[in-house]
Parts: sequence; structure tokens; C-alpha cells
Amino acid sequence: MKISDELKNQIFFVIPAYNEGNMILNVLKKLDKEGFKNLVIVDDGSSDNTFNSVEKYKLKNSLDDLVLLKHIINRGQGAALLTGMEYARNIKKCKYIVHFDSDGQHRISDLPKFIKVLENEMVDIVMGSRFLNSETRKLVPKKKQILLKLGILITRFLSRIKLTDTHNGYRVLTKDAAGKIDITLDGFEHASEILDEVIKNKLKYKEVPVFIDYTDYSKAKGQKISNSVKIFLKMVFKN
Amino acid sequence: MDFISYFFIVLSLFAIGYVWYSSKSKRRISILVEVFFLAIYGIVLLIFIFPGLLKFFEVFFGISSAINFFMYLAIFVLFLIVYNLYQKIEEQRVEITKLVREISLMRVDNGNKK
Repeated sequence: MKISDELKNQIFFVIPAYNEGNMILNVLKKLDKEGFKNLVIVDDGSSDNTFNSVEKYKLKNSLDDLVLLKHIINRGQGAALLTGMEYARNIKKCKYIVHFDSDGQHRISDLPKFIKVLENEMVDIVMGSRFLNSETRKLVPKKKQILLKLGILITRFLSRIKLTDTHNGYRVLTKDAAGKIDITLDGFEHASEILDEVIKNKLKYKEVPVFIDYTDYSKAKGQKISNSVKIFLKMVFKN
Repeated sequence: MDFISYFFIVLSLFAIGYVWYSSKSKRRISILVEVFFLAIYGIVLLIFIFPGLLKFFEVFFGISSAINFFMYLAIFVLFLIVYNLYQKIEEQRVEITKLVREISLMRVDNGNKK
């Protein structure tokens, strides 16, 4: 499925960024090249040049629809996502909101799969999965697979949601669904909270296979085992 | 009166003075918390000045060791206070995030209006 220019104009990318000065411009260039202009970047209190580099890039390329929000202090990815969503869903032309990583892990080529489901089926939120088919699974490092599988089992038990990949940051949701999702957990544990919100608000969901590109950079910035334990504890006590 | 009693009397007086001084300064906390801590240190002070109070307590409530009872009670109350503090910190975390979000959205709105 090819996304029409008219639809592209209704899709808003929410991209949280924390100390991504080196990578985020590559992501923005790729999105711009594909014709996606509505980009909401949330600089989550970065201590590097993230904010300035995006601002310069916006001015240099006259990207009027690129919105740069700044958290004055670091609050975490979940908090940044909600800030971006709050902004995007108040824009009249916004139809879909895409959660997209700033470290280059997500592929824009996967987006049509999400949009196809949203356009053709009565679904509120479409979530990416690394484990829906063998091709996408192959890219996930073995250690990460074990950890993620454990997370999936725990989330299935706590949230009562049947998904093959519970901690995938690539999601597309309708504007209405975005208005129903309230993220109170600021850090990485927001992924589990979103699933709780999906169940609580009886949102219709579906998964599509996505490729996640694990580079040395993204692996270094990714979640550590200690974080997973923290996420687990927060989920248990929130439920 | 032995050395340890004098030591705790001085310590309790110091603690009471410190809470009292804090209540008068800019760093004051809520009046309920101040009264709570003044009461705790006041009880400690009374027990060390009048050790017979513990005996009276043991006879009155029919327990073998009032010191042990107070120790367990103190640990229980301390854990409760720590839990309460965690809860307060968590509430503040949520509020700070809301504030940070509002500021960032407001700044963009103002920028768009210019």
C-alpha cells in the first residue's frame, strides 16, 4: 500500500529525543525524503546539542510543520511521548499519530502496513511486533529475545493482553485513541502502561510485523537488565 | 541516672530544639509533622528522665518489656513514614512532569503566535 500525499498530511510523527544530537537528523532527513512533514520532536531535557541541531535543521530546510518541543528537565520517554501526543491531537488535520524512535531503529518502510490496517479495519491502535514472523525476529539479538519473551509473558499475565511483542515502541494510533491514553509512568515502563490503557479504554488493537534495526549505537542506548527489573516492579505495583 | 540516660536526654533536647527552631525558620514543614516529631522526642525525653514510667507502662498493659515494645513500635512507625514519603515523592514526580509538559506546550504556542 502506498500512502497518498493527502493521508501523509494527516499523519503526525511524535519523536521523543534524549541526547540524540548525533542520530536524530538522519531520522528527520529520511522522513522528509519520504514526504512526511508533520513531525513533533520532543527534546526531553537533553544535555547535548539535540535541540539546537533540530532547530537549525528546521530553519535551514524551512520545515514549517516540524514542531520542536522542549522539556526543561529530563522526564523520560513516556513523559515525552505524552507531551508530543498532547500537541499533535490538538491539531485539526491530525488523523493518525505515529510513535517513532529518534535513534534510527524504526523503518519508515514499515509504516504502510500500520496505515493499511487503520484504514481498512476498525482498529484504534496498531502496534509493531518483532516476533510476528521469522524475518523480523532474525534481527533481534538472542539475549534480547529471551528478555523480551519474559516481558511478554509477564505483561500477558498482568495486563491480560495477547500480543507477540509487548515492548515495541513503534505504534500508530488514531487521534481519538491518543486522547484516551494517559501515560503517568515517565520512563520506559510507559510501554506496559499503554497496554493497560488499551485494555481499560477497550481500544481495538492489532499487530503488524516490523523490522527493528539494532545498531551498536542503539544497543548502547537501549534498555539494561536493571531497567527491566524496574519496569517489572512498577507494573506489578501499578496493577 | 547512668551515662546513657544523660546522653539521650541531651540528644532529645537537641532534637526538640532543632524541630522548634526549624518551625520558626524558612525551612518549616507542615505543622502536623512538627507536632508529631515534637511528641516523639518529648516521649523519649520523659522516659529517660523518669525511667519509672516504663515500669508503670509494663504493669498497666501487662507486657514483659516496654523497651522492646517501643523498639518494635518505632520500627513500624518509621517504615510507615518512609512509605508515606515515597508516596509524596511519587505525587510530586507526576506533578513535575505535568508542569514540564505545560511549559513546553505553552512555549510552542507562544512561538506560533509570534
